Amino acid sequence: MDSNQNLEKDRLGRPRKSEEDHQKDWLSGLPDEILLHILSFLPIKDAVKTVLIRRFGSLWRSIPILDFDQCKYHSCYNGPYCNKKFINLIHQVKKLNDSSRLAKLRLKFAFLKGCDNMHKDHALKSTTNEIDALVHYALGKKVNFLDLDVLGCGFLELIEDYSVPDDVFRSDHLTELRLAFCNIEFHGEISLKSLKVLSLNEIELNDKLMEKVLVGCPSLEDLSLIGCFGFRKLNCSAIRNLKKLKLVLYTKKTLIITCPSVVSLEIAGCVESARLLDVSSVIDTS
Amino acid sequence: MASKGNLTLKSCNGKEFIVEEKVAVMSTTIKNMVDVDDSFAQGVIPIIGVDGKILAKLIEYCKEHAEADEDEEVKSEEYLKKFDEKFVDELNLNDLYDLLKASNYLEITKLLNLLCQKVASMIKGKKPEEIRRIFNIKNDFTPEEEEEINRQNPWAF
Repeated sequence: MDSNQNLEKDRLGRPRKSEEDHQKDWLSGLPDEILLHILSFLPIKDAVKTVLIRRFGSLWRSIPILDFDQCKYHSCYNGPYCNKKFINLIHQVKKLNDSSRLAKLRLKFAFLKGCDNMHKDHALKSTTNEIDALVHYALGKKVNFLDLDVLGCGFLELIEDYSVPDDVFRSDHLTELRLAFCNIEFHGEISLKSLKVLSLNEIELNDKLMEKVLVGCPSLEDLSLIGCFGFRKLNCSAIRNLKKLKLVLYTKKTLIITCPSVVSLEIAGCVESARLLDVSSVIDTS
Repeated sequence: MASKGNLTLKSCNGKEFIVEEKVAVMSTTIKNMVDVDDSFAQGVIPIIGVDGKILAKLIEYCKEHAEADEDEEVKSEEYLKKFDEKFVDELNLNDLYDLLKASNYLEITKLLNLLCQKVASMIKGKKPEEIRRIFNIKNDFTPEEEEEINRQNPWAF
């Protein structure tokens, strides 16, 4: 192969022809901090593979952003696939990661029912445990941005139940939280005092839980509820900085919405009726 | 000397650029210099290790973004996105390298992110030998060494 021939020649000690030639081998000339920054923009699988480039070596272990996106590499529409390899990747990356803090953890995959059919229950349990462990790991590293999506590009009917670990709702460091197709079975008090952005997608809620969320996130600026159900009341009057509220809901119930500080209000989907009690600041609606 | 509200930046090969302060302070490094020492604001700010060609590119980028920050109507998010795309697409490898280093040194965060993202997109989905070819990396692992790394980390590949 062409590139291998070049490699051979170099190993035989061919002197570099010119300054220009030298400059072109440029990944090698960049400092670690820039290389880490570059790695942070790669899906974790690609980042890990850079271990085969000498200059990158084991730098990937220090990246502050862990982006596990199963759906970048396949399409669930091509039929069921097995998560075993993906879960093993998560396990190994978590084991080897040595960054002092994590800025972001993103997990997107289809947590399918009946994967590994031989040992179904065991496999489901170990997948749940592995995700829980990853989330706890990230919280321990004071992660700022957490994004969990267990539907991926799969079908809703085939998705296994996954409950978000309780500790997610008691973090002082989270500033952005995005959850999709997970269950929230948390019964304690919610305390997310730094949280600015909250996005919930296809999650069953209830009025009591909604109230706890709104009391427990005093710094919230941006709230999106997409396809969530089971609640009627949305009283945001305790959140003074809430500027943006986006609701895409499908319900036959009458929604009661109070959001005095909201500037941008978007209500879409199919909402039979909504009572807007205090929307005095709204400038932009759609 | 630059008039009020303007700063003079001097590249390492002696080229001088007069730019508006709002454009120059997109660089945190320059902002800190000006904030700490008033004489920089009056005189010439030397930009160490950055030549005239690269400095001109940096200024072009900062100008667009500073103006957009000031007036979203004229330069919308959409406009900026297109500008960014065109900006990185037109760079050759050497310019990309120099700009990466310069934006890191000058702490122009937005640009550094953009450039790192560009490099990441050049790596994504590629095999090691393709990455080596793209970036002209020589003297890297031999196929035997590569095989060994593969063997030690079967989960990764």
